[in-house]
Amino acid sequence: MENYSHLDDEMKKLPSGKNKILAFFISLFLLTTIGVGIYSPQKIDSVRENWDEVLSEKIKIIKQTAQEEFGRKLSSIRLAESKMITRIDSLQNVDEIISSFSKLGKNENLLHQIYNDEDSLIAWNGGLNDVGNLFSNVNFRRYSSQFINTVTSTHFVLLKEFELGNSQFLLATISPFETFIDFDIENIERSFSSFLSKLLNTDIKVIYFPEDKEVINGRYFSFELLDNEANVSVEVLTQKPILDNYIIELNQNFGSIQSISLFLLLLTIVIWLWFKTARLDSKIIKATSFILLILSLRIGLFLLNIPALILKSELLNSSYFSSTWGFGIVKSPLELLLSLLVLISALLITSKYFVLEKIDFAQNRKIGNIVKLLISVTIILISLVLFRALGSAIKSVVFDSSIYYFEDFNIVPDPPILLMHLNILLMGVIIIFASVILFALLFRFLSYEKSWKLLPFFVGVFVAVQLLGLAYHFIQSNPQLTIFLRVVLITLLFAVLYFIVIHQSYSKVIFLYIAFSSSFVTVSLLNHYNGEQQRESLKKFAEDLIRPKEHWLDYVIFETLNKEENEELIFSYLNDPLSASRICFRVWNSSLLHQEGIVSCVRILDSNFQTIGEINFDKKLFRDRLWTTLPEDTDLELERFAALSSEGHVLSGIRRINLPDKEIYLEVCTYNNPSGIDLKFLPAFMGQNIYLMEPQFSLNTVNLFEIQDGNLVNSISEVDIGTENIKKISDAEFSRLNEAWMNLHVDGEEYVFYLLKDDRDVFEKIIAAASKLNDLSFNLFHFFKVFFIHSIIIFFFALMTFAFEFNKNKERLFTFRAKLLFVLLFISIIPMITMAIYFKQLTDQKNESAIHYKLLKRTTSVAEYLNKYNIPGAFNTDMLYKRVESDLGISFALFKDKQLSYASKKLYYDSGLLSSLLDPVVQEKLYLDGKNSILVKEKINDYQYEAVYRRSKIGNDEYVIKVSDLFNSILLPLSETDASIFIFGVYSFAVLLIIVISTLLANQISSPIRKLTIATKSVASGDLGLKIEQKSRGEVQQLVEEFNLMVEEIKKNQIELAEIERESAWKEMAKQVAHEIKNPLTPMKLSVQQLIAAHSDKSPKFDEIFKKVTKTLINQIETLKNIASEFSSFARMPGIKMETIKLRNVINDAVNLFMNEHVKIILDLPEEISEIKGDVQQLRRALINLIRNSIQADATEIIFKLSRKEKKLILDIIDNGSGISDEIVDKIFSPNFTTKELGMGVGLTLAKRLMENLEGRIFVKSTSSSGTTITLEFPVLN
Amino acid sequence: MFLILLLCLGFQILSAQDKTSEINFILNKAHNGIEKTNVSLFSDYLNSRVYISLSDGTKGYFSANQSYYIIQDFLIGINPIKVSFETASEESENPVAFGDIEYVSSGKKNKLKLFISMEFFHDKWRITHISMTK
Repeated sequence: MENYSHLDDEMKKLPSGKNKILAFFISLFLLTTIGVGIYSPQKIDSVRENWDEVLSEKIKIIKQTAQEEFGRKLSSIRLAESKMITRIDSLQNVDEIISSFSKLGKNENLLHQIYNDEDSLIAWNGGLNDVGNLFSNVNFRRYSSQFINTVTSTHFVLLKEFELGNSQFLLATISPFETFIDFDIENIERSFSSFLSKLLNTDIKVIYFPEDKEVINGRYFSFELLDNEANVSVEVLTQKPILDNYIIELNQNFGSIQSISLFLLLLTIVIWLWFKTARLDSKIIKATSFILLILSLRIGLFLLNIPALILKSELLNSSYFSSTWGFGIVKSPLELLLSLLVLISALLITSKYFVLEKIDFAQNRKIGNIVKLLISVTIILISLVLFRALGSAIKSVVFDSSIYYFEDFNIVPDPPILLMHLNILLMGVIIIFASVILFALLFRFLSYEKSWKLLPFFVGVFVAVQLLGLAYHFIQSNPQLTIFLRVVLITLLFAVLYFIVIHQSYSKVIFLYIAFSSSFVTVSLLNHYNGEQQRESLKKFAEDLIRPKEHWLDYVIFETLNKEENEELIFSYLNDPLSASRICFRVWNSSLLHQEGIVSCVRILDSNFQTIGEINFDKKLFRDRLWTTLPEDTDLELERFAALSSEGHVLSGIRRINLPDKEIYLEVCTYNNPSGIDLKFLPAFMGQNIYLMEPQFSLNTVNLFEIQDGNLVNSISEVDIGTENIKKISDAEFSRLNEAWMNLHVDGEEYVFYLLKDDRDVFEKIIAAASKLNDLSFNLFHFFKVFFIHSIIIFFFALMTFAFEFNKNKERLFTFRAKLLFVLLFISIIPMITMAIYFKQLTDQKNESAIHYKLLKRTTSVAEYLNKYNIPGAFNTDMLYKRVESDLGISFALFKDKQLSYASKKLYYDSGLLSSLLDPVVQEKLYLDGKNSILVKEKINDYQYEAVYRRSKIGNDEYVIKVSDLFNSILLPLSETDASIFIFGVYSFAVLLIIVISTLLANQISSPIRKLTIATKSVASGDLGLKIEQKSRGEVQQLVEEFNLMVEEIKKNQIELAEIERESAWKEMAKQVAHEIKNPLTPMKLSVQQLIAAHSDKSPKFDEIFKKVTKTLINQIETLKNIASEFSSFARMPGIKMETIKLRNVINDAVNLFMNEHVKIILDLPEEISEIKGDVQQLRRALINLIRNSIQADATEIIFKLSRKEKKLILDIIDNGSGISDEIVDKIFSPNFTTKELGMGVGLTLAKRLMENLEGRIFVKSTSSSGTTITLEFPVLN
Repeated sequence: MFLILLLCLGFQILSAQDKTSEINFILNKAHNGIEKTNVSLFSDYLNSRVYISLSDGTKGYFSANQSYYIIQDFLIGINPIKVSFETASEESENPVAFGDIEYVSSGKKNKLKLFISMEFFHDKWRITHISMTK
């Protein structure tokens, strides 16, 4: 026997190649870490010593880069101009130009305009709303290239004259270089200074006009940027790099490099230790070491502040989610993911080493029942605590996050939100997985009984856990799970355990079950806590309403008035009265008023307090001439903040600004209602006032009521609360904190009311904030929004796993079941998706038509009203237009000769947010194509809206009336968002149902084919005792029946053939024997006859003849003996083929053939003790025979148990069949003995013979009516 | 009677002083915490729901947990060198403090405006509003 022990030592050594690589990397990172530590102070010292040179180099780089970028930007504008000239060259007349321009589309970074020889604007392509007619700009000159200023932007303009027909035209190509209007998204493309600042990592300001030159002190320097082709130059102002700041930056960079290097060193060491650990024998030490290594990596990342050090990403933004739990290891979505991944890895390691390992059941019998009970209860309690932890975690995700998982739904979420969805799913997976491991170990630990008792035991544990869970719920003061969710969680957990414990299934599909169960539970929890949060938010909302805000608003007004840049702005632009309103807009835009979305007014007043220009978001509230009389102590000195005055609920501040030739005032007003619900909001595209109302709510979902002395004094609500409810609210019982909760029916629906009593004023009042109780269908709606995203994530990971193990799994793709499943899915999901897309498009079309219709109707109303009341002298035009707005409640704009003539919301046009020029597309459709009206999609920043333009004759003049849903709300029965949510919610549920049903159907339909395949393999391996059980109808049932018949026939024929062959063989042998025996018998007879004759004749040669005859007789008898020996050798059985085999593999092969039989086969086959010498084929046949015998003895469970005893391998085959009767137990191994009608009686005989040939033995260890144990003993392979 | 009145007045003055000193104590903590980029110096006084408005665009109501890291990360990003503020309206039910934060960015000294307001919640003074904007 060969000795293989020396190979084990070899295998325990790490392959030398890997060793070298790891050693190299460890050295590299160690040296880098140390090297940086040594190098950085030297570098810093060097920088200090040579700072002048370093500074010159830095300044040189700044100049070069700025010049390159400046040249590049101008070149792109010149290129755009030349392309436009080429395009114009192909056109014939002005109409073609207008048509061509309208097709160009709006471009926020490039505007083309065509002027005729009278300087009238005839064509433009839209975009850059603040530019307008260039010739009305005070800065504009007829130079070929220049910079011009509007109040909101600085633009570069190229002019080119061209001829068309016989007329001269002027092409203007305009591109923004700076924009001073800042909304939420910083558009670096529109700010050259910001672009350079970011590129060069220093503060840069570009000065486009010499009169704007700033005073430069020693810390700043400036240089010129020149473009010879365009003949323009600008000045760049930047602060000189400061040595101290540069050193700080260097230190930070070196620190980052060191931290990264340290982490990589740690990672390499962990990898090296990992390989070492993998070679250990002890599973506990191995598993613990692996877990500790992963943990050390996570701790390393945390201590070194990675990934925050190297990543600047929204995934690390704490505002999406953060918690102080764990000293900050979950302080952002990405940090939370990393921590969860560590937990999942630890669980995977635990499951691999402790769940999939077999436990010696016999050992369990030594542990007392009390101890087992204690362990069981402990494990159950641990799992209940884990469930509570899940509830707490999800609660934290809701309350410590600014994400509204249901309200902010998007089919494709932003990365931080998608990451949080993944985190939520992982939390559920971890808890369920951990519980599965605990209970799987528990069942293995406890179930040493026979398996037919396991199922009732399993059910018993399930019920016990549910009852303990209920008890646990009631003893907690603050349960983190609802009863229903805990019951569902435990049920799902035990559904997964059923596969592991009862079916002994360890396939990766288990993880799929765990993932979907986790999704179900976590989304339900999310839904539950979202409801709680909404309730909390109602409370916060009401509290915020009565919270004092005056100090904050005072502060905002104060800061706005005193901002240094405002004075400079006013100085620069006040010579152009038209720009006064735009100045006010810039002041407003750069202030906290805009940032906080505060309804306000910014005005510039002359010395008589008359308005020169303003931006006023509520003209009724912020009336003109607020300062007609000032308080006596009002201090209006420059740089002093004036006293506030309040009129009604208005807070305002005023400041004097002394210009060289006059005195003006800057006024800022805001609105404050110290108590009550009179809320004011800006339009959505101007910004949200989150201070007043969180984004989770809108005035569509929250209803506010103010009740005083039993009367409703104010409300913001679309429903009528009713007098009965008012009385109930007034009579409510309030807590010590002056609050109360109530559920009331309003308009047939149930609402949750939060009531807050405010008794600070003379008159006590109650603020009621109410929200509709979500009914079940709406919660389902919420549920599927997030479940859909979880399903996508799960399928993605399943696909990745499948792709990763593609080689192992590719055969599964081509099975009958897989093909059937693909076909079923294909023919059902494709039409479903088609229908979803169609329905969505239909909804979009219907919505568009509805919007068009409603807006068009409003334009018609405006036109009719204007025509009706447009009586010369009856009203002045402005008053008439205002009457339209107040009487009809419609905000509109009028264009005459393609220019704005009037607008209800003029401030947005004055500020440059909306264009005062008619949209070129509209111009083309209405004036060239002759349409009467057109619906256009427009955009203000990123806010999209729709507008209808309608040609109308008012009096004798042609106008274009514009009405948009920007200022007129249009209610749709099913908005685009609602439609998307509905479609994806419902259809995703349908898709999931289809997948589940298709899988079940595919399984059911392909089941007989699978059984036939396996049965065919069994028959080919020699097992003719099987019979397929299949209950179905039609051809499949016929096929199965015919197959069973065929196997029976084969078996019968085999037996008959064997009989015939045996008979024939015996006959032939007998003939041979007879023939061979005859040969020596003949001479023997002759010899005896000769002897008798000699004796009768009293021959003198009798002695001689006697000797001769006896010799002949002896020879012939010898011959007969040889004949007998040879025949005996011939009758010996065929030889066996000896080789080293793994017994467990042979057993597995045999067992696999019985996969679809109604018998459970349990294997207890330790890997390290299964090698023997034997004949694979014969051994397999023997095992198949033994299994078949057990099945035929009505066994439902067969256990294969392999053990080692001294120099023998003992294989016990234990079944729970009907046993062998005492009368025949000694005969079963005898040749030709059988109890079966059609048996040959050679199976066990052959098995016995085989074992004897292997120098082992086979015997019946025990038998009774509850089962039989057959033992096979094999000699151990040395 | 006069003595009782005097006592009551005394208690009121004392309690007012207590209130003022408590408010100042918390605001000082906030001042130090912001200047030293160490939110834990005043995190205990953050309300369960704080309105935060920062120059990087962060704006909204956040839980105390979130507020800790949002403010901490912001301060680490700007690295304040000096904080100055004055308190106002200590006597009112809504005391505020406002001032300036000086910091260095891209080699240039910059300033942010600081605003903090407090309210009395469940028998304790809490910071309910922090604003650090340009």
